Amino acid sequence: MIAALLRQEVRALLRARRTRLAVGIVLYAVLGAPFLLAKPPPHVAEAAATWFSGDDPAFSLFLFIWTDLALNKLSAILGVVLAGGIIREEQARGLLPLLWAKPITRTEYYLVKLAAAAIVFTLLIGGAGLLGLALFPWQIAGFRAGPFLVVSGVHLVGALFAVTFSGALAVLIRRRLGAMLTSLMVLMLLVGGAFLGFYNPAWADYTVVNPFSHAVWLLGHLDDLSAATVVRPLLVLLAIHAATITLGALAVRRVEA
Amino acid sequence: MTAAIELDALTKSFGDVLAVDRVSFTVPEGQVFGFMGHNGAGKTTAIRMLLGLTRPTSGAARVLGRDIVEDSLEVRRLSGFLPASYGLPRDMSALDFLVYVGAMFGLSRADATARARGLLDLFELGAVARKSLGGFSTGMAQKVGLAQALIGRPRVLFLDEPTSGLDPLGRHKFLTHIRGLARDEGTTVLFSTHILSDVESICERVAVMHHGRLIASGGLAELKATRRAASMDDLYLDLVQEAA
Repeated sequence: MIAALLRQEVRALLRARRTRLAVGIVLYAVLGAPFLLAKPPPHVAEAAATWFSGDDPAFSLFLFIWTDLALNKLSAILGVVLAGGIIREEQARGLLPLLWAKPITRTEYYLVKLAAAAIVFTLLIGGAGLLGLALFPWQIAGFRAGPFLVVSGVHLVGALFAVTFSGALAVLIRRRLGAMLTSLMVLMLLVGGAFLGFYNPAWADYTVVNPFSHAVWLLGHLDDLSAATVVRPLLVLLAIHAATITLGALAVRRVEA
Repeated sequence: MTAAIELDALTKSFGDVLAVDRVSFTVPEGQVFGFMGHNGAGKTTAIRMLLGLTRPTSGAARVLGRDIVEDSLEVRRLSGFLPASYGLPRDMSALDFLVYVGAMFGLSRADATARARGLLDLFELGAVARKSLGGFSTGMAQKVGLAQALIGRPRVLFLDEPTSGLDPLGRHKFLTHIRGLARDEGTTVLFSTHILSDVESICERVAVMHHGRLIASGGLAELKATRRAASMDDLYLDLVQEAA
């Protein structure tokens, strides 16, 4: 039953107007990245050269622009767009009693909605990566597909926090707009602080609870993309996701139909 | 006569407000049972408890022998529900919405689609199955509402004020469908309404609520005879005036 419902939920979300808007944002981000790289702000170029290891500063700069200026901001917005109205949208329409009178628990319903949002988010961000993979070799000098995929893949796992967090706040905060704005503000703050550990290594400890810092952690280890290096941020991110999903799943039990 | 729904001193309070006060009655299987009372009488709260949408403060109830608290999922698997007011998802087509609800009952996509198409044809909505629900009239939306309540082939159907907002012809057709469900498929229907003529036209037995309390229950003809009421209006007014 859950699998069948998840399929229907993903279909419905893919056809929703807001997903079409999201596709437009993704295209804008992918197509805009090379333009940013063509003439990066001097402080960005300087930061990339100083912060990241690697024998190819130009490629590091590209990955910095791709993850920070494109993917990070994109993820924060998409997470809120896709998951920020979970449950509350149906509640506002008066549809919850009709749906929750079906043979499914509230927790199952919430998890299905969250999983559908995560799948569509993955399709969009993953699609952005694949589109980049097709376009960037022609546009970016010294582009390397392997590190690009590994960095983008780990970033995607981290960026899913935007979905799990927005979903949790949607059930924790009664008013839909309030929940969405709070999610967006917090996610933008986290995105803004993602590179704090690179900016000042002494502050790295403060970023331990920031999923976006773990999502971009590999940028500092481009010379050593071994399995152990890649697994480290993934484990931390999975733990953060588990905690956020559990929080939302517990909170949804208190929502009145 | 087997009981499809049994309420035993079912009670729900919200703080100091007693919404449903020790209500007990039995709904026989395969009948359309009128659940009457003015707005705010406690009908919706009672139905919400039966479907596990809100927990009873005290008392108990069973649907087809299943406890509504301990075995809520099974109760909901056997039930269909049409709430009093709801907004259908405007982005979805009628067919997609019914298939979505069908998935909640564990139907495969093929089964849910076949069942949804059958119901849409039954309610004369086959031609607009692929149209967005946002453009549906009140009557069409209500038919989709009834179709979603029937998609899991329920043995018990809870209808909360289902004819409010329908025009006379739409109401007549709707009531005909409900009567047919009980007669042809043996579905038990708990029909909550404050429209007395609807009750008179399709219900054999009724329960009457007033300010959270049950003030009468039994066979409609029997209640009328006991109260010497010529019409449903007379019966209802007599009961309410006595309870006030």
